[in-house]
Amino acid sequence: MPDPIIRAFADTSFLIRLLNEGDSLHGQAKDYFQYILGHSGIIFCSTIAIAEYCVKGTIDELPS
Amino acid sequence: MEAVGTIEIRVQGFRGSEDISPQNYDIAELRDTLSRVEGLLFPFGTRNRPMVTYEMKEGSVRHIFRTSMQYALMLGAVLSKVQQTGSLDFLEINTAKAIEAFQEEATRKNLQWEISTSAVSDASLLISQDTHFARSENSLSQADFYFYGKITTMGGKNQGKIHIDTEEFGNLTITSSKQELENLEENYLYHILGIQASGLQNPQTGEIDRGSLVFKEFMNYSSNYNETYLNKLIAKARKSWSDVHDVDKWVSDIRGYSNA
Repeated sequence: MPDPIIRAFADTSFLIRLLNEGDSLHGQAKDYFQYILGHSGIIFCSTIAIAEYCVKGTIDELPS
Repeated sequence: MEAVGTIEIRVQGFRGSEDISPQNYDIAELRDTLSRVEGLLFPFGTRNRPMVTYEMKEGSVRHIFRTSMQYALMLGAVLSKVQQTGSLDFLEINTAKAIEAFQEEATRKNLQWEISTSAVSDASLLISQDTHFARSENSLSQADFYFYGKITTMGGKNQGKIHIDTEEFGNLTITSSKQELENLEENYLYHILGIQASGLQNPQTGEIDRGSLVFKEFMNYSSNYNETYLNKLIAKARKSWSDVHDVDKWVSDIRGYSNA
């Protein structure tokens, strides 16, 4: 039986911490991101989280 | 209590001047009945379903199915509810489709179907020319979906079909045009990908009509970690977030919690 696919949900705080290298938890966010993608996982994100991110950031800053 | 439940589907009518019977029952009709029973019993798919055995008896034609008592009980509950309400709108799509198919054949061929189960003694559903079992037209809405999984087959002689094995929905078949598949620049077979598709969904139950899925596009989805790509995004985002030192407070503020 194949290993189950890792699936994670990225909320607004995670996206900001992942992309803001000055954040105190940036390293942890990056590690999670690397771990999930490195295990062929899928990261989901809601339109609300994207909208919140875009209050200050822009959509082309987000991973696609 | 027995572990095996019996489901009986009795069909009555005429074949010319003769009563319908196993001697004049065509194999195409039998095939249709068998596929509808799978929809009735296993609306969520037949993967991991229990064994179902079959026997045909006289009178006019009695289809006898034996399977796990739990599934027979579930069908009994469905039959009771449909009998009480006369509605199919609350049902899973495959179950509703199966009952609609019985209704369509009853109307077209002047047949009478009676579906019952030994598991629930007073649950039986009569379908004839005089009944009108159908979903309301507004029970399904057009929607867009995003599916992620492994592409297992692509192609088809007359119509393009993409099969994707997803963890959430199992195997899905998505219809596409042959041209769309011809024009693909990459071979996606056995790749883990995202697919955007359109189709019908029951807004009350959230259930997707799996037969209605039409391909829109492959999602540019890569599960590989790319440090260079991420660093480019971080550099691009630097200006946006350099003055935010407390993310939790910033998120609370935009959600209006700090004024609560």
